[in-house]
Amino acid sequence: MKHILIIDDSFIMRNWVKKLLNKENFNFIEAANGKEALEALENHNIDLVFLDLLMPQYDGIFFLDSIKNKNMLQKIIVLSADIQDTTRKKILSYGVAGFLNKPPKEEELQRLMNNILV
Amino acid sequence: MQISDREIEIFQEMINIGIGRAGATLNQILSTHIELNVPHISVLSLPDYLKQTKKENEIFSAVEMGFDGPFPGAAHLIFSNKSAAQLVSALVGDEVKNDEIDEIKSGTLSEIGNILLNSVMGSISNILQDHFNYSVVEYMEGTLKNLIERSFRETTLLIIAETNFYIQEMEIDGQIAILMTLKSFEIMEKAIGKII
Repeated sequence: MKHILIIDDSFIMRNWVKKLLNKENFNFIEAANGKEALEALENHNIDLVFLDLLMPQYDGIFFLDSIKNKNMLQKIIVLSADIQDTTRKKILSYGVAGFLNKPPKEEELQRLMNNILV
Repeated sequence: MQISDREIEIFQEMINIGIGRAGATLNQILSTHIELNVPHISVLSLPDYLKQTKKENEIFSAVEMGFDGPFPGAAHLIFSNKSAAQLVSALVGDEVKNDEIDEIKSGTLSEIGNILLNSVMGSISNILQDHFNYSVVEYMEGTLKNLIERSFRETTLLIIAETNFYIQEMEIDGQIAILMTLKSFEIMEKAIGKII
């Protein structure tokens, strides 16, 4: 079973991502901010991360900056409501697997997930 | 301060692009079909805005997103308490337990505000070819004066976009308010001048 970490301060968006992927057999781990997410990374063998950017206390940029294992960056799909071209460019420069605006189209999401979960 | 019809037209266009995107986004997330439109935009001073609403003592629900970048300010999605309750009820139904009402209401409105305000501010940013840093959205309740003063103390001007939500044959009225200083407004006017 693949372990998926969903990092978002909004329970509605966490539930929405889970609902979208429900047909697959995944184990979901949830975090409401970057600090909780880093703890989850230490305690679980995470296969894929969905990361929101704007969160209270420790945001998505904090999480990206704090990742020690740089290979993990290639397992991260950023899901953000921020539609600014400048934000997309900045986030992609981290080397993450993808940047999608909320809500992502199912085929886009599936394509990125297939690349990561080989 | 004189705002030309041309400028109002440009604000209307920038906000309409954002609203159009927000409508498409909300339709994907929510199981209910929702349509948004912005029939009217105005630019007002804070005293004129408060005077015009004629609802000094009414309590409103608002989602606030602060921004900083080429100029600072805050964007609000504002509903009367009645409209906020109607909107949440139309979206999540009446199956919510009493002890969960406040959390569901603030969570639902925050997410709608997050998508809508990001769409509007993001469209403005992309059109102006600039970048804003945002604060985490916050749900608040209070009089209009309290909401604005708590959010962005330096507010002198507001761009007000009347926003209609059409859900399940119901029309729910709200407002998008962009709070800024006169100086911020002048910076934005100059930025717009460069692209038209």
